[in-house]
Amino acid sequence: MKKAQRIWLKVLVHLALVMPALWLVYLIVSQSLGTDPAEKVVRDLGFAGACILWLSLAMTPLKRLTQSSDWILFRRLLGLWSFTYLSLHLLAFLVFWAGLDVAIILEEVSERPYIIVGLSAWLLMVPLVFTSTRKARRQLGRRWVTLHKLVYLSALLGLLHIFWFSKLDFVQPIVFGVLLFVMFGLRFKGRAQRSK
Amino acid sequence: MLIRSKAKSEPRSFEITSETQYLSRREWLKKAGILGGGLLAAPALSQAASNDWRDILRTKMQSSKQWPHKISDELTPYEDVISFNNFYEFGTGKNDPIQNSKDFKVDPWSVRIEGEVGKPGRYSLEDLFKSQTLEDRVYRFRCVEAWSMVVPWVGFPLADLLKRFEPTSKAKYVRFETMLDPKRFPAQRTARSTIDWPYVEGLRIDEAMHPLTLMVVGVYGKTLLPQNGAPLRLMVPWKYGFKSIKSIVKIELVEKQPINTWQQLAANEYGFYANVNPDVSHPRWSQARERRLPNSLWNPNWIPTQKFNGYEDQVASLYKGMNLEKLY
Repeated sequence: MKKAQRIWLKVLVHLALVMPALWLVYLIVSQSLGTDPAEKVVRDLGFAGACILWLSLAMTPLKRLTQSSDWILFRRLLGLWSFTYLSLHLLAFLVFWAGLDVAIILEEVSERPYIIVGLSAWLLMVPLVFTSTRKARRQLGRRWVTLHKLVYLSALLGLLHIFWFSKLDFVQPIVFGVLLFVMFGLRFKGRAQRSK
Repeated sequence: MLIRSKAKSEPRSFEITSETQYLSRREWLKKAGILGGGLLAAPALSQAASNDWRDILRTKMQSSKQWPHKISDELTPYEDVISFNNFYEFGTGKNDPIQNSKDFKVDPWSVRIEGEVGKPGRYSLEDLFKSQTLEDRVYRFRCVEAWSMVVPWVGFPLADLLKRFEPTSKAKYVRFETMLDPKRFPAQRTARSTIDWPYVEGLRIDEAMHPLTLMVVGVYGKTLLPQNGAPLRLMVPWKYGFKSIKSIVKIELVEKQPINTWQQLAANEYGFYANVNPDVSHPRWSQARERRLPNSLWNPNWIPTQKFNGYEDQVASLYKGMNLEKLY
Protein backbone atom coordinates (compact mmCIF):
# COMPACT_ATOMS: atom_id res chain seq x y z
CA MET A 1 0.00 0.00 0.00
CA LYS A 2 1.23 3.46 -0.80
CA LYS A 3 1.85 5.93 1.96
CA ALA A 4 -0.90 8.32 0.83
CA GLN A 5 -3.37 5.42 0.69
CA ARG A 6 -2.40 4.35 4.19
CA ILE A 7 -2.96 7.81 5.59
CA TRP A 8 -6.36 8.15 3.94
CA LEU A 9 -7.43 4.76 5.17
CA LYS A 10 -6.35 5.59 8.70
CA VAL A 11 -8.23 8.87 8.60
CA LEU A 12 -11.35 7.00 7.49
CA VAL A 13 -11.00 4.44 10.26
CA HIS A 14 -10.56 7.19 12.86
CA LEU A 15 -13.67 8.93 11.55
CA ALA A 16 -15.66 5.71 11.72
CA LEU A 17 -14.51 5.10 15.29
CA VAL A 18 -15.51 8.54 16.52
CA MET A 19 -19.05 8.08 15.19
CA PRO A 20 -20.52 6.14 18.17
CA ALA A 21 -19.32 8.89 20.52
CA LEU A 22 -20.76 11.61 18.30
CA TRP A 23 -24.05 9.72 18.13
CA LEU A 24 -24.20 9.58 21.92
CA VAL A 25 -23.39 13.29 22.16
CA TYR A 26 -26.25 13.94 19.75
CA LEU A 27 -28.63 11.84 21.88
CA ILE A 28 -27.53 13.70 25.02
CA VAL A 29 -27.91 17.14 23.45
CA SER A 30 -31.27 16.35 21.87
CA GLN A 31 -32.40 14.77 25.16
CA SER A 32 -33.53 11.60 23.43
CA LEU A 33 -31.82 9.07 25.67
CA GLY A 34 -35.13 7.98 27.19
CA THR A 35 -36.34 7.35 30.71
CA ASP A 36 -33.09 5.99 32.15
CA PRO A 37 -30.35 7.94 30.31
CA ALA A 38 -27.43 6.88 32.52
CA GLU A 39 -28.06 3.19 31.94
CA LYS A 40 -28.19 3.72 28.18
CA VAL A 41 -24.99 5.79 28.02
CA VAL A 42 -23.07 3.29 30.18
CA ARG A 43 -24.33 0.35 28.14
CA ASP A 44 -23.70 1.88 24.73
CA LEU A 45 -20.17 2.99 25.62
CA GLY A 46 -19.37 -0.47 26.94
CA PHE A 47 -20.79 -2.10 23.84
CA ALA A 48 -18.81 0.19 21.51
CA GLY A 49 -15.61 -0.40 23.51
CA ALA A 50 -16.05 -4.18 23.41
CA CYS A 51 -16.75 -4.20 19.65
CA ILE A 52 -13.60 -2.17 18.94
CA LEU A 53 -11.50 -4.34 21.26
CA TRP A 54 -12.75 -7.42 19.41
CA LEU A 55 -11.88 -5.73 16.09
CA SER A 56 -8.36 -5.03 17.32
CA LEU A 57 -8.01 -8.70 18.25
CA ALA A 58 -9.18 -9.69 14.76
CA MET A 59 -6.30 -7.93 12.98
CA THR A 60 -3.62 -10.59 13.50
CA PRO A 61 -5.88 -13.52 12.50
CA LEU A 62 -7.00 -11.54 9.46
CA LYS A 63 -3.39 -10.92 8.52
CA ARG A 64 -2.76 -14.66 8.54
CA LEU A 65 -5.95 -15.52 6.70
CA THR A 66 -5.48 -12.99 3.93
CA GLN A 67 -1.67 -13.12 3.96
CA SER A 68 -1.61 -9.35 3.90
CA SER A 69 0.15 -7.39 6.61
CA ASP A 70 -1.92 -4.26 5.99
CA TRP A 71 -4.29 -5.19 8.84
CA ILE A 72 -1.56 -4.58 11.38
CA LEU A 73 -1.67 -0.87 10.51
CA PHE A 74 -4.93 -0.63 12.42
CA ARG A 75 -4.18 -2.81 15.41
CA ARG A 76 -2.79 -0.11 17.66
CA LEU A 77 -5.33 2.54 16.80
CA LEU A 78 -8.17 0.07 17.38
CA GLY A 79 -6.71 -0.89 20.73
CA LEU A 80 -6.38 2.75 21.78
CA TRP A 81 -9.89 3.59 20.63
CA SER A 82 -11.34 0.65 22.52
CA PHE A 83 -9.50 1.82 25.63
CA THR A 84 -10.94 5.31 25.09
CA TYR A 85 -14.50 4.00 24.88
CA LEU A 86 -14.04 1.66 27.84
CA SER A 87 -12.59 4.52 29.91
CA LEU A 88 -15.64 6.62 29.03
CA HIS A 89 -17.79 3.60 29.95
CA LEU A 90 -16.15 3.53 33.39
CA LEU A 91 -16.40 7.30 33.75
CA ALA A 92 -20.09 7.29 32.76
CA PHE A 93 -20.72 4.58 35.35
CA LEU A 94 -19.06 6.68 38.06
CA VAL A 95 -20.57 10.05 37.10
CA PHE A 96 -23.95 9.39 35.44
CA TRP A 97 -24.95 6.06 36.91
CA ALA A 98 -23.59 6.36 40.45
CA GLY A 99 -23.76 10.17 40.64
CA LEU A 100 -20.16 10.27 41.99
CA ASP A 101 -21.52 9.15 45.35
CA VAL A 102 -18.68 7.29 47.07
CA ALA A 103 -21.01 5.22 49.28
CA ILE A 104 -23.06 4.10 46.27
CA ILE A 105 -19.95 3.34 44.22
CA LEU A 106 -18.40 1.24 46.99
CA GLU A 107 -21.60 -0.63 47.68
CA GLU A 108 -22.44 -1.27 44.04
CA VAL A 109 -18.89 -2.42 43.31
CA SER A 110 -18.99 -4.83 46.25
CA GLU A 111 -22.48 -6.13 45.46
CA ARG A 112 -22.16 -6.39 41.69
CA PRO A 113 -19.32 -8.83 41.05
CA TYR A 114 -19.32 -8.14 37.33
CA ILE A 115 -18.19 -4.57 38.00
CA ILE A 116 -14.99 -5.85 39.64
CA VAL A 117 -14.40 -8.16 36.69
CA GLY A 118 -14.96 -5.31 34.22
CA LEU A 119 -12.71 -3.00 36.21
CA SER A 120 -9.94 -5.63 36.21
CA ALA A 121 -10.26 -5.95 32.44
CA TRP A 122 -9.88 -2.19 32.09
CA LEU A 123 -6.91 -2.02 34.51
CA LEU A 124 -5.08 -4.69 32.51
CA MET A 125 -5.31 -2.44 29.47
CA VAL A 126 -3.60 0.50 31.21
CA PRO A 127 0.02 -0.79 30.91
CA LEU A 128 -0.68 -1.66 27.28
CA VAL A 129 -1.70 1.90 26.56
CA PHE A 130 1.45 3.30 28.19
CA THR A 131 3.65 0.96 26.20
CA SER A 132 1.88 1.45 22.91
CA THR A 133 4.39 3.91 21.51
CA ARG A 134 7.04 2.88 19.01
CA LYS A 135 9.70 3.99 21.46
CA ALA A 136 8.38 1.77 24.25
CA ARG A 137 8.13 -1.11 21.87
CA ARG A 138 11.76 -0.71 20.85
CA GLN A 139 12.93 -0.40 24.44
CA LEU A 140 11.03 -3.44 25.64
CA GLY A 141 12.00 -5.66 22.74
CA ARG A 142 10.79 -9.24 23.19
CA ARG A 143 9.20 -8.39 26.52
CA TRP A 144 6.79 -6.07 24.69
CA VAL A 145 5.19 -9.04 22.94
CA THR A 146 4.84 -10.93 26.20
CA LEU A 147 3.38 -7.89 27.96
CA HIS A 148 0.85 -7.26 25.22
CA LYS A 149 -0.48 -10.78 25.52
CA LEU A 150 -2.33 -9.32 28.50
CA VAL A 151 -4.94 -8.15 26.01
CA TYR A 152 -6.19 -11.75 25.76
CA LEU A 153 -6.76 -11.88 29.49
CA SER A 154 -8.44 -8.49 29.36
CA ALA A 155 -10.80 -9.69 26.60
CA LEU A 156 -11.62 -12.87 28.54
CA LEU A 157 -12.47 -10.83 31.63
CA GLY A 158 -14.52 -8.51 29.43
CA LEU A 159 -16.42 -11.51 28.13
CA LEU A 160 -17.08 -12.71 31.68
CA HIS A 161 -18.30 -9.18 32.53
CA ILE A 162 -20.75 -9.27 29.60
CA PHE A 163 -22.03 -12.75 30.50
CA TRP A 164 -22.43 -11.89 34.15
CA PHE A 165 -24.59 -8.80 33.81
CA SER A 166 -26.78 -10.35 31.12
CA LYS A 167 -30.24 -11.27 32.26
CA LEU A 168 -31.90 -14.02 30.30
CA ASP A 169 -31.00 -12.70 26.85
CA PHE A 170 -27.62 -14.27 26.18
CA VAL A 171 -27.42 -13.68 22.43
CA GLN A 172 -24.95 -10.80 22.80
CA PRO A 173 -22.51 -12.56 25.16
CA ILE A 174 -22.69 -15.74 23.08
CA VAL A 175 -21.81 -13.86 19.89
CA PHE A 176 -18.87 -12.13 21.63
CA GLY A 177 -17.77 -15.46 23.09
CA VAL A 178 -17.88 -17.38 19.81
CA LEU A 179 -15.96 -14.63 17.99
CA LEU A 180 -13.31 -14.51 20.70
CA PHE A 181 -12.74 -18.25 20.63
CA VAL A 182 -12.62 -18.34 16.84
CA MET A 183 -9.96 -15.62 16.92
CA PHE A 184 -7.99 -17.45 19.62
CA GLY A 185 -8.27 -20.64 17.64
CA LEU A 186 -6.88 -19.01 14.51
CA ARG A 187 -3.93 -17.62 16.42
CA PHE A 188 -3.00 -20.96 17.98
CA LYS A 189 -3.44 -22.70 14.67
CA GLY A 190 -1.18 -20.15 13.03
CA ARG A 191 1.41 -20.61 15.73
CA ALA A 192 1.28 -24.40 15.51
CA GLN A 193 1.81 -24.26 11.75
CA ARG A 194 4.71 -21.86 12.00
CA SER A 195 6.52 -23.98 14.58
CA LYS A 196 6.28 -27.11 12.44
CA MET B 1 -57.52 -9.06 57.86
CA LEU B 2 -56.69 -5.41 57.65
CA ILE B 3 -55.72 -4.07 61.02
CA ARG B 4 -57.50 -0.80 61.64
CA SER B 5 -54.69 0.95 63.45
CA LYS B 6 -53.67 4.05 61.59
CA ALA B 7 -51.18 3.19 58.89
CA LYS B 8 -48.35 5.51 57.86
CA SER B 9 -49.83 5.93 54.41
CA GLU B 10 -53.29 6.65 55.74
CA PRO B 11 -54.42 10.25 55.58
CA ARG B 12 -54.37 12.50 58.56
CA SER B 13 -57.33 14.85 58.68
CA PHE B 14 -55.57 17.66 56.86
CA GLU B 15 -54.53 15.30 54.09
CA ILE B 16 -57.99 14.34 53.00
CA THR B 17 -58.61 15.49 49.49
CA SER B 18 -59.24 19.17 49.34
CA GLU B 19 -61.06 20.78 46.47
CA THR B 20 -57.84 22.02 44.91
CA GLN B 21 -56.38 18.54 45.03
CA TYR B 22 -59.51 17.18 43.49
CA LEU B 23 -59.34 19.80 40.79
CA SER B 24 -55.70 19.04 40.13
CA ARG B 25 -56.69 15.42 39.67
CA ARG B 26 -59.29 16.54 37.15
CA GLU B 27 -56.44 18.45 35.56
CA TRP B 28 -54.39 15.36 34.84
CA LEU B 29 -57.45 13.50 33.75
CA LYS B 30 -58.01 16.27 31.30
CA LYS B 31 -54.42 16.08 30.16
CA ALA B 32 -54.82 12.35 29.74
CA GLY B 33 -57.68 13.08 27.38
CA ILE B 34 -60.47 11.65 29.45
CA LEU B 35 -62.48 14.74 30.18
CA GLY B 36 -61.65 17.05 27.31
CA GLY B 37 -64.15 15.27 25.15
CA GLY B 38 -61.56 13.50 23.01
CA LEU B 39 -62.65 10.10 24.12
CA LEU B 40 -66.24 11.04 24.79
CA ALA B 41 -66.56 12.11 21.19
CA ALA B 42 -64.98 8.93 19.88
CA PRO B 43 -67.90 6.54 20.49
CA ALA B 44 -70.19 8.81 18.53
CA LEU B 45 -68.08 8.15 15.47
CA SER B 46 -68.33 4.38 15.57
CA GLN B 47 -71.87 3.09 15.57
CA ALA B 48 -71.82 -0.18 17.48
CA ALA B 49 -69.36 1.21 20.01
CA SER B 50 -71.68 1.29 22.98
CA ASN B 51 -71.29 -2.45 23.56
CA ASP B 52 -67.53 -2.31 23.41
CA TRP B 53 -65.87 -3.06 26.75
CA ARG B 54 -63.64 -0.04 26.33
CA ASP B 55 -66.57 2.35 26.22
CA ILE B 56 -68.14 0.75 29.25
CA LEU B 57 -64.79 1.00 31.00
CA ARG B 58 -64.24 4.63 30.02
CA THR B 59 -67.68 5.55 31.27
CA LYS B 60 -66.97 3.76 34.54
CA MET B 61 -63.60 5.50 34.84
CA GLN B 62 -65.27 8.90 34.86
CA SER B 63 -66.96 8.03 38.13
CA SER B 64 -63.95 6.27 39.60
CA LYS B 65 -63.34 6.71 43.30
CA GLN B 66 -60.30 8.52 44.62
CA TRP B 67 -58.40 6.19 46.92
CA PRO B 68 -57.83 7.98 50.25
CA HIS B 69 -54.29 6.73 50.87
CA LYS B 70 -52.12 9.42 49.39
CA ILE B 71 -48.37 9.22 48.96
CA SER B 72 -46.18 12.26 48.66
CA ASP B 73 -43.96 10.82 45.91
CA GLU B 74 -44.01 12.68 42.62
CA LEU B 75 -45.74 10.86 39.75
CA THR B 76 -43.62 9.36 36.98
CA PRO B 77 -44.85 11.04 33.75
CA TYR B 78 -47.16 9.10 31.47
CA GLU B 79 -44.63 9.10 28.60
CA ASP B 80 -42.16 7.20 30.80
CA VAL B 81 -44.78 4.79 32.12
CA ILE B 82 -45.72 3.77 28.56
CA SER B 83 -42.23 3.69 27.02
CA PHE B 84 -39.97 2.08 29.63
CA ASN B 85 -41.26 -1.42 30.29
CA ASN B 86 -40.17 -4.94 31.05
CA PHE B 87 -42.59 -7.11 29.11
CA TYR B 88 -40.54 -9.93 27.64
CA GLU B 89 -43.39 -11.14 25.42
CA PHE B 90 -42.52 -8.10 23.30
CA GLY B 91 -38.73 -8.40 23.69
CA THR B 92 -36.12 -7.96 26.40
CA GLY B 93 -35.22 -4.29 25.79
CA LYS B 94 -36.95 -1.57 27.79
CA ASN B 95 -38.21 0.06 24.59
CA ASP B 96 -39.19 -3.20 22.88
CA PRO B 97 -42.70 -3.27 24.37
CA ILE B 98 -43.75 0.13 23.00
CA GLN B 99 -42.12 -0.57 19.64
CA ASN B 100 -43.31 -4.15 19.14
CA SER B 101 -46.85 -3.69 20.43
CA LYS B 102 -48.00 -1.19 17.83
CA ASP B 103 -50.17 -3.74 16.00
CA PHE B 104 -51.29 -5.55 19.13
CA LYS B 105 -55.03 -6.22 19.10
CA VAL B 106 -56.63 -6.85 22.47
CA ASP B 107 -59.88 -8.23 21.07
CA PRO B 108 -61.08 -10.89 21.40
CA TRP B 109 -60.24 -11.30 25.09
CA SER B 110 -61.74 -13.37 27.89
CA VAL B 111 -60.49 -14.66 31.20
CA ARG B 112 -60.84 -18.22 32.41
CA ILE B 113 -61.49 -18.77 36.09
CA GLU B 114 -60.51 -22.28 37.09
CA GLY B 115 -59.63 -24.59 39.94
CA GLU B 116 -60.95 -24.46 43.49
CA VAL B 117 -63.92 -22.17 42.89
CA GLY B 118 -67.65 -22.63 43.00
CA LYS B 119 -68.23 -20.71 39.80
CA PRO B 120 -65.56 -21.57 37.26
CA GLY B 121 -65.93 -20.43 33.69
CA ARG B 122 -64.90 -18.13 30.90
CA TYR B 123 -65.74 -14.51 31.59
CA SER B 124 -65.80 -11.56 29.24
CA LEU B 125 -63.95 -8.41 30.19
CA GLU B 126 -67.08 -6.35 30.79
CA ASP B 127 -68.45 -9.15 32.93
CA LEU B 128 -65.32 -8.95 35.11
CA PHE B 129 -65.41 -5.23 35.82
CA LYS B 130 -69.06 -4.23 35.37
CA SER B 131 -70.06 -4.78 39.00
CA GLN B 132 -66.80 -3.35 40.39
CA THR B 133 -66.26 0.17 41.66
CA LEU B 134 -63.14 1.52 39.99
CA GLU B 135 -60.58 3.30 42.11
CA ASP B 136 -57.69 5.65 41.28
CA ARG B 137 -54.70 4.51 43.27
CA VAL B 138 -51.20 5.94 43.18
CA TYR B 139 -48.71 3.15 43.93
CA ARG B 140 -44.98 2.95 44.11
CA PHE B 141 -43.65 0.45 41.59
CA ARG B 142 -40.29 -1.14 42.40
CA CYS B 143 -38.57 -3.29 39.79
CA VAL B 144 -36.24 -6.08 40.96
CA GLU B 145 -33.59 -4.39 38.77
CA ALA B 146 -33.41 -1.52 41.31
CA TRP B 147 -35.34 1.18 39.48
CA SER B 148 -38.75 2.46 40.45
CA MET B 149 -41.69 4.59 39.33
CA VAL B 150 -44.81 6.10 40.87
CA VAL B 151 -47.92 5.32 38.86
CA PRO B 152 -51.61 6.29 39.09
CA TRP B 153 -53.44 3.06 38.30
CA VAL B 154 -57.16 2.54 37.84
CA GLY B 155 -58.55 -0.74 39.09
CA PHE B 156 -60.44 -2.68 41.71
CA PRO B 157 -59.35 -4.99 44.53
CA LEU B 158 -58.60 -8.53 43.36
CA ALA B 159 -60.41 -9.73 46.50
CA ASP B 160 -63.71 -8.32 45.24
CA LEU B 161 -63.29 -10.23 42.02
CA LEU B 162 -62.22 -13.53 43.57
CA LYS B 163 -65.08 -13.56 46.09
CA ARG B 164 -67.54 -13.55 43.20
CA PHE B 165 -66.26 -16.93 42.04
CA GLU B 166 -66.60 -18.46 45.53
CA PRO B 167 -63.19 -19.93 46.33
CA THR B 168 -63.38 -23.24 48.18
CA SER B 169 -61.47 -24.09 51.36
CA LYS B 170 -58.85 -25.80 49.20
CA ALA B 171 -57.98 -22.53 47.48
CA LYS B 172 -54.61 -21.82 49.13
CA TYR B 173 -52.92 -20.01 46.24
CA VAL B 174 -53.89 -18.07 43.14
CA ARG B 175 -52.10 -18.84 39.91
CA PHE B 176 -52.20 -16.36 37.00
CA GLU B 177 -51.31 -16.78 33.34
CA THR B 178 -50.52 -14.24 30.65
CA MET B 179 -51.93 -14.71 27.15
CA LEU B 180 -50.05 -17.27 25.08
CA ASP B 181 -50.37 -16.14 21.49
CA PRO B 182 -47.25 -15.99 19.30
CA LYS B 183 -49.23 -14.03 16.73
CA ARG B 184 -49.76 -11.20 19.18
CA PHE B 185 -46.54 -11.52 21.22
CA PRO B 186 -43.50 -11.58 18.90
CA ALA B 187 -41.05 -12.90 21.51
CA GLN B 188 -43.23 -15.99 22.02
CA ARG B 189 -42.41 -17.11 18.48
CA THR B 190 -38.64 -16.59 18.47
CA ALA B 191 -36.40 -19.58 19.00
CA ARG B 192 -33.94 -17.51 21.05
CA SER B 193 -36.42 -17.07 23.87
CA THR B 194 -35.46 -19.15 26.89
CA ILE B 195 -38.79 -18.62 28.65
CA ASP B 196 -41.29 -21.46 28.80
CA TRP B 197 -44.39 -19.46 27.80
CA PRO B 198 -46.94 -18.54 29.00
CA TYR B 199 -45.70 -16.27 31.78
CA VAL B 200 -46.96 -17.52 35.14
CA GLU B 201 -47.27 -15.74 38.47
CA GLY B 202 -48.81 -16.63 41.79
CA LEU B 203 -49.88 -15.28 45.15
CA ARG B 204 -50.78 -16.86 48.45
CA ILE B 205 -54.53 -16.56 49.00
CA ASP B 206 -54.15 -14.03 51.84
CA GLU B 207 -51.87 -11.91 49.65
CA ALA B 208 -54.39 -12.11 46.82
CA MET B 209 -57.20 -11.11 49.17
CA HIS B 210 -55.26 -8.20 50.68
CA PRO B 211 -56.97 -4.84 50.00
CA LEU B 212 -53.79 -3.43 48.40
CA THR B 213 -53.75 -6.12 45.71
CA LEU B 214 -55.27 -4.48 42.68
CA MET B 215 -56.67 -5.72 39.37
CA VAL B 216 -55.65 -2.91 37.04
CA VAL B 217 -57.64 -1.87 33.97
CA GLY B 218 -56.23 1.61 33.44
CA VAL B 219 -53.37 4.02 34.01
CA TYR B 220 -53.47 7.82 34.16
CA GLY B 221 -57.23 7.65 33.64
CA LYS B 222 -56.90 5.78 30.33
CA THR B 223 -57.41 2.14 29.44
CA LEU B 224 -54.16 0.18 29.54
CA LEU B 225 -51.87 0.19 26.52
CA PRO B 226 -50.50 -3.20 25.41
CA GLN B 227 -47.02 -2.43 26.79
CA ASN B 228 -48.55 -1.90 30.25
CA GLY B 229 -50.41 -5.22 30.18
CA ALA B 230 -53.70 -4.53 28.41
CA PRO B 231 -56.47 -5.23 29.01
CA LEU B 232 -56.12 -6.54 32.55
CA ARG B 233 -53.12 -6.81 34.85
CA LEU B 234 -52.23 -7.32 38.47
CA MET B 235 -50.57 -4.77 40.73
CA VAL B 236 -49.07 -5.91 44.03
CA PRO B 237 -47.28 -2.77 45.22
CA TRP B 238 -45.21 -4.32 48.02
CA LYS B 239 -43.61 -6.89 45.71
CA TYR B 240 -41.04 -6.58 42.93
CA GLY B 241 -42.61 -5.66 39.60
CA PHE B 242 -42.35 -9.09 38.00
CA LYS B 243 -45.04 -10.37 40.38
CA SER B 244 -47.55 -7.95 38.86
CA ILE B 245 -48.41 -10.13 35.87
CA LYS B 246 -49.72 -8.47 32.70
CA SER B 247 -52.36 -9.31 30.09
CA ILE B 248 -54.03 -11.98 32.20
CA VAL B 249 -56.14 -14.71 30.54
CA LYS B 250 -56.34 -17.24 33.33
CA ILE B 251 -56.87 -17.08 37.07
CA GLU B 252 -56.70 -20.42 38.79
CA LEU B 253 -57.26 -21.09 42.47
CA VAL B 254 -55.02 -23.93 43.53
CA GLU B 255 -53.97 -25.91 46.58
CA LYS B 256 -50.21 -26.02 45.91
CA GLN B 257 -47.81 -23.12 45.61
CA PRO B 258 -47.38 -22.32 41.90
CA ILE B 259 -43.95 -22.03 40.32
CA ASN B 260 -43.72 -18.56 38.84
CA THR B 261 -41.79 -17.95 35.62
CA TRP B 262 -38.80 -16.11 37.10
CA GLN B 263 -38.41 -18.68 39.87
CA GLN B 264 -38.38 -21.36 37.21
CA LEU B 265 -35.73 -19.46 35.23
CA ALA B 266 -33.39 -18.66 38.13
CA ALA B 267 -34.57 -19.85 41.54
CA ASN B 268 -31.44 -18.54 43.25
CA GLU B 269 -32.19 -15.01 42.07
CA TYR B 270 -35.99 -14.77 42.06
CA GLY B 271 -38.31 -16.36 44.57
CA PHE B 272 -42.02 -16.92 44.93
CA TYR B 273 -42.63 -14.14 47.45
CA ALA B 274 -40.42 -11.41 45.91
CA ASN B 275 -41.33 -8.91 48.60
CA VAL B 276 -39.44 -5.64 48.23
CA ASN B 277 -36.70 -5.92 50.84
CA PRO B 278 -33.68 -3.61 51.14
CA ASP B 279 -31.99 -6.07 53.51
CA VAL B 280 -31.89 -9.01 51.11
CA SER B 281 -29.59 -8.44 48.15
CA HIS B 282 -30.10 -9.95 44.76
CA PRO B 283 -27.07 -12.22 44.13
CA ARG B 284 -25.75 -9.74 41.55
CA TRP B 285 -26.78 -6.39 43.01
CA SER B 286 -27.92 -4.59 46.13
CA GLN B 287 -31.61 -3.93 46.81
CA ALA B 288 -30.84 -1.29 49.45
CA ARG B 289 -31.62 1.57 47.10
CA GLU B 290 -33.33 2.32 43.83
CA ARG B 291 -33.15 4.83 41.01
CA ARG B 292 -36.47 6.65 40.88
CA LEU B 293 -37.47 7.27 37.25
CA PRO B 294 -37.35 9.41 35.31
CA ASN B 295 -33.86 10.56 36.21
CA SER B 296 -31.30 12.61 34.37
CA LEU B 297 -27.67 12.18 33.40
CA TRP B 298 -26.48 14.52 36.14
CA ASN B 299 -28.82 13.16 38.78
CA PRO B 300 -29.39 9.40 38.89
CA ASN B 301 -32.02 10.04 41.59
CA TRP B 302 -31.01 7.29 44.01
CA ILE B 303 -33.36 6.89 46.96
CA PRO B 304 -33.31 4.32 49.75
CA THR B 305 -35.61 1.34 49.18
CA GLN B 306 -38.24 0.87 51.86
CA LYS B 307 -39.21 -2.44 53.36
CA PHE B 308 -42.25 -3.84 51.54
CA ASN B 309 -41.86 -0.81 49.25
CA GLY B 310 -43.24 1.45 51.98
CA TYR B 311 -46.34 -0.67 52.62
CA GLU B 312 -44.87 -2.38 55.67
CA ASP B 313 -47.63 -1.21 58.02
CA GLN B 314 -50.29 -2.80 55.87
CA VAL B 315 -48.64 -6.07 54.84
CA ALA B 316 -45.92 -7.06 57.31
CA SER B 317 -48.44 -9.07 59.35
CA LEU B 318 -48.91 -11.42 56.40
CA TYR B 319 -45.35 -12.66 56.89
CA LYS B 320 -45.15 -12.90 60.65
CA GLY B 321 -42.74 -15.63 61.73
CA MET B 322 -41.41 -16.19 58.22
CA ASN B 323 -37.70 -16.04 57.43
CA LEU B 324 -37.78 -13.46 54.66
CA GLU B 325 -34.11 -13.97 53.93
CA LYS B 326 -34.79 -17.54 52.91
CA LEU B 327 -38.23 -16.93 51.45
CA TYR B 328 -37.14 -14.02 49.23
